[in-house]
Amino acid sequence: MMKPVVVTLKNISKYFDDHCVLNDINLEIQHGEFLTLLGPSGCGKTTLLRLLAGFETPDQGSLFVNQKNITQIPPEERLFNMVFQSYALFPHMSVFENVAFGLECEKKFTKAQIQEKTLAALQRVKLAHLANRKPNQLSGGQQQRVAIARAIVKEPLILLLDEPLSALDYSLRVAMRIELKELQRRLGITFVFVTHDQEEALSMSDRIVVMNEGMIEQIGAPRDVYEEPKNLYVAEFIGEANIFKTEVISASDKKLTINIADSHLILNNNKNFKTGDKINIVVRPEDLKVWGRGEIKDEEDMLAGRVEEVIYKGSTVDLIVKLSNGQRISASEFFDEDDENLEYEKGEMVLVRWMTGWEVILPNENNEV
Amino acid sequence: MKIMKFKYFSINLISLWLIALATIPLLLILITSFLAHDDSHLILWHFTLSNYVYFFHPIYFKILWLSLKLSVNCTILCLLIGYPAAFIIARSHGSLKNLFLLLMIIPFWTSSLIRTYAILTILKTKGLLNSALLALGIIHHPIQLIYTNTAVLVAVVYNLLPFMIFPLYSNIEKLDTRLLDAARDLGAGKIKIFKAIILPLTMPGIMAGTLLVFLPAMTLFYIPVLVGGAKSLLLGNLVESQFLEMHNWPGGAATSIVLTLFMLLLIFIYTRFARGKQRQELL
Repeated sequence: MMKPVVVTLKNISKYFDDHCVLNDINLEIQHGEFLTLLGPSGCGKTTLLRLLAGFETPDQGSLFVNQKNITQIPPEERLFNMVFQSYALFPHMSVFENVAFGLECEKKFTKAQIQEKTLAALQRVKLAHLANRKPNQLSGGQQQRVAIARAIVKEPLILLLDEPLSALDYSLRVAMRIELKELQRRLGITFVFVTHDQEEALSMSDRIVVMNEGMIEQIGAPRDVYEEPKNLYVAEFIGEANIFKTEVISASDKKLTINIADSHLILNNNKNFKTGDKINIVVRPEDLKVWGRGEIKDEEDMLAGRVEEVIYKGSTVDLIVKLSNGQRISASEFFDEDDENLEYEKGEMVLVRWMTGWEVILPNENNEV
Repeated sequence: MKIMKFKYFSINLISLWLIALATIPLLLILITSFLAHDDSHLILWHFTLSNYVYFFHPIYFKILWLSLKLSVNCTILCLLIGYPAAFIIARSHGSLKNLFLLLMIIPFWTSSLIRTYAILTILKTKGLLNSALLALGIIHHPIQLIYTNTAVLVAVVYNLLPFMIFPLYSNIEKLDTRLLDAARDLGAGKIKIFKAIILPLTMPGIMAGTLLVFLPAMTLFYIPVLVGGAKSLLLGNLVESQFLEMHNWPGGAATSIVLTLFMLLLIFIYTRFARGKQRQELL
């Protein structure tokens, strides 16, 4: 079900000097969703967030809130609030004063109302008992919560979060993900979250906007983006991916035949590829199944290779396998009932195969090999 | 071990230096202030409080009052000029900032006495300013600029302004601009941002600048002499004239001690007022 759209970005472009930071961005932000802007540093995601906040104005294009053009409205008049990357808490004010600051600016609340709303926001983030502390007396995680409380107390139309978890250590970061997601659900506020961490993006978002060099590569639910990447960039940026560059030997309506490292494989032809088309086949490491030479009798349509590296990861064993054509691929094997002791030796000859249909076939437009 | 020895050596050296050139002279002045003198002797070994009793004479109150007034006015002017100046310097970029800082430092390459003479050539009756105003037809007779209290104030402000700008500059420079973004994001207008964020966070700079301007303004003796003429006698001049013209060393010593006590009182009030962190930053 489509949720109603609250914010629309139309043909937004932004240049710093002559460098194009955002290139013709079109995006609709839906009411109540958790939207993540994902991309490497320098891809324009933070600029896009600052543009939403009003700290930057686009060189081209417009920004609409419920059909109203707000492109030229300054940040202090926008109904968006931001959680800054390093929190940007006011060091000379107590936690309470920090959170109350935004309400005082509105000049429409009485002292009692400010008191009440501030305490409610602090209770939401479980910090009411620290209201009189100064920010430098708090831990990183607590400062983070103050920053969130300070923004949500304004009941913003959209909460903007600029890599808010990047300063925390790993276990706290994982805990905060769950907490943030839960908070978002409870408040029903639209979250626009910026991160370069794909794991964060996958675990928290309703939709992910994958960005690269100022452009949007793909917009979709985490599962779509991971399982059906639109292009090679998305496939490689989100999760690990093995990419086989090859060409279609023969194609029919339903099936196509290809050749990887001297093995003929028959795959589903869902995207109307024709004989001779250059393609990239994307297979996730966890979709690759690895057998020892002795376990298999019929070696046809399997890829033969030699184990180069065995990496034990607790829940999985990751293998780096060198195929007969020299390409290195990575495979994650899970411990399960069928295979309780996954034991591979370096140098062991193995056979590799994935379930037909688990691959993603992308056209290789640039004909790179 | 060697490093430790060097550390003790250098600390002891500084302590000796301070004892020889600050503590002992101060003690000598303190002792002198309780002694008498006559026309043929600079000091007489004879204990007296009379040098301090003089201070209850109205003329001394008047001098103290004039000195205070000049210092307060000078500090306020320096703050009003220095704060925006420091802000502009701290917020400008690259080579422009370096240029501003250089322009601030260049006057220090010349003695402030010489710079005060330079002011003299601008302000005197047939000086640059009067000539310019006459040439432009704005005035028809030279106006009295020099030997007025305003001239003294201008010269003192000119000499002490850098001491206000530098601490303010280093404070504003450190100010995290993301805090200003955050305040805007929360709906604060320009006035609110200044009052609630910038002013409190630059208070250490304001305090440091105020002390660095206010205290010297009380004692700069040559500026009132050169620019103010004989008319404006301030505390600094009083000390000078007691020592060098009236040959009243005990009197000059007593005035110096009173002045020192007064400044200690100001620093004490400041440290009471500025809590914890601000005090550390000042030191």
